[in-house]
Amino acid sequence: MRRLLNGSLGQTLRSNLTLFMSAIQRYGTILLASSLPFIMGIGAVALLRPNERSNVFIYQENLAIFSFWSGFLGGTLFSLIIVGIWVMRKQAERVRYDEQQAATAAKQRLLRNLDHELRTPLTTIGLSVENLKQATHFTAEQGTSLDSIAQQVRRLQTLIKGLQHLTEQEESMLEKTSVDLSEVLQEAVEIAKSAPAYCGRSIALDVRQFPWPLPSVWGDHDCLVVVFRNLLDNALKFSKDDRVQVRAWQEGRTAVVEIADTGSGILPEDLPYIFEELYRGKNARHTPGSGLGLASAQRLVALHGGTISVDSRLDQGTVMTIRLPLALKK
Amino acid sequence: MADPALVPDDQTPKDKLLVVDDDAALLAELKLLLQMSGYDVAIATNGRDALDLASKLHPDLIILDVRMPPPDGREVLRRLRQEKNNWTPVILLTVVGTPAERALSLHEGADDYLNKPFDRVELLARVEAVLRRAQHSRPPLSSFRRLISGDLILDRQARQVSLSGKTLVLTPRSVNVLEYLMLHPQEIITRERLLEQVWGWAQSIEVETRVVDNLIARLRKELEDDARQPHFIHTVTSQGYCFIADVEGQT
Repeated sequence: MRRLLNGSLGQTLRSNLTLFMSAIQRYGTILLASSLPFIMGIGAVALLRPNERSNVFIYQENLAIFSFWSGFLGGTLFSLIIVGIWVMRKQAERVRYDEQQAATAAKQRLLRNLDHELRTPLTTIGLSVENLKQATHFTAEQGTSLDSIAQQVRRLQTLIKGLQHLTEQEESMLEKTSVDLSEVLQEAVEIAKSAPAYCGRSIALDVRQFPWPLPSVWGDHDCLVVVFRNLLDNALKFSKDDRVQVRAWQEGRTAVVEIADTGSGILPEDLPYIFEELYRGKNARHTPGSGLGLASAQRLVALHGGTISVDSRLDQGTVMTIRLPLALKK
Repeated sequence: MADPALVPDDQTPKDKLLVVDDDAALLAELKLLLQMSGYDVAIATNGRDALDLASKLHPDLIILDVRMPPPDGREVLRRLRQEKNNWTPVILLTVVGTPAERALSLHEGADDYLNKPFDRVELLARVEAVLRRAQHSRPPLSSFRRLISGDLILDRQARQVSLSGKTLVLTPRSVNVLEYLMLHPQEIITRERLLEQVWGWAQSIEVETRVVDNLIARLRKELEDDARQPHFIHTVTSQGYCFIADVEGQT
């Protein structure tokens, strides 16, 4: 019996019991409401019992007993149905979550294996080209061909390193401290603006600091700078001559950052996939990029316990919204 | 194209390198490249042969691939150091995996690491630096617990740094950066290399080299090091950073 209880049956019972208890906690009011007839029944019996000899009261007592039992049964049935539905929904949610986790892990594994398998051949091709160039004299055309091989190898190497970067982002790589988000945003804006391609572009930064400053978030300063710089880079890249705005404020126990651009926007059919690795929107194909930036940003934000979402209108612009939990005060 | 500084002139005896990799194609290219750069090159395709050749040929440097059928590169390195007490400098060729693996890499007694994919310039620079640093029959700095440079002591096990007897309050990442610089004294370390080795961020478009500068600035402040007249960390314009003081190891 004990083995059975410790085994999967026990586990199922225990987890369902926990779910049941949390259901009671959460749906206490509904339970109370549904058992109201039951309570009223008890009240009626208690009130009427002293006078049970009288005929009138016998009728009323029967009524009371009837209302007691109907209230009791109805209330119990109702609460059981409510709790049952809740437990079933929770379990379905948990199964879905487990499936999602397994799918993510499988994808990470695939990317990691692919990455490992591509490394040695890429190193070999790269070195071969360089050896060839060192050893032999070529015509100008042959030299150009060799250079283009070398260039494509470099491109693949960058992709490989990007993939590695993505598959390796783990909690343990972050060095979390209390981080001033406005400093992070300022740094990211400066870095993004200093890129030669975006020289002269304007980024408006508005961090709500009045009457109190935006509280700190708990995270890796360097890593958050990279996240926001990446998002800013996207905003600048897809909006040719227009402005980019960064807004940040507090919302309850969350810091919200919006990065808005008045660029070309994202096609509605692309929207559900833009955070996937290597996915590139149909109107982004002719803009250079690795297709890893947003996936990486999403993963890094998730490692901070935050979320990232997107709202976009074609030919009007895009708003990226990043929510990060505030650091708990010690 | 060949960088004259990287090619030893004809008068000096050639340095003997042992290159170990189970991938025949890569091994052939590595051999050709290193021979063209003026080194004497022996090759092995598995860990067992590598151990034999290391004892027989007494190479000046071993370039060792980590991922091989057993015994793999790490095992070869361990046997070389522990069983044979052989301190020939070793450069590991790695496919840097998880952060745990990376942390292990920093502590297992190799002289340096090179992540695939690497190019010719990276490889030759690393070979050159390790050969220059190598003091034969003396264990590499990475095999010591403490790194000492004047008043500055870095305890690699306790992850603590002290200056003139006073313990400094440094973040783990700052300690890692200082450790990496002290393990490679008098060598120019690029920002990209620090990001890859310490932050664990592979070189890619997402990499932000300015975060390295910020960390070095904080580190310098703690070390009371003036960027214009540094005692420890020197900025090499448009190249990277260099730990300029002498470093000794202590168990």
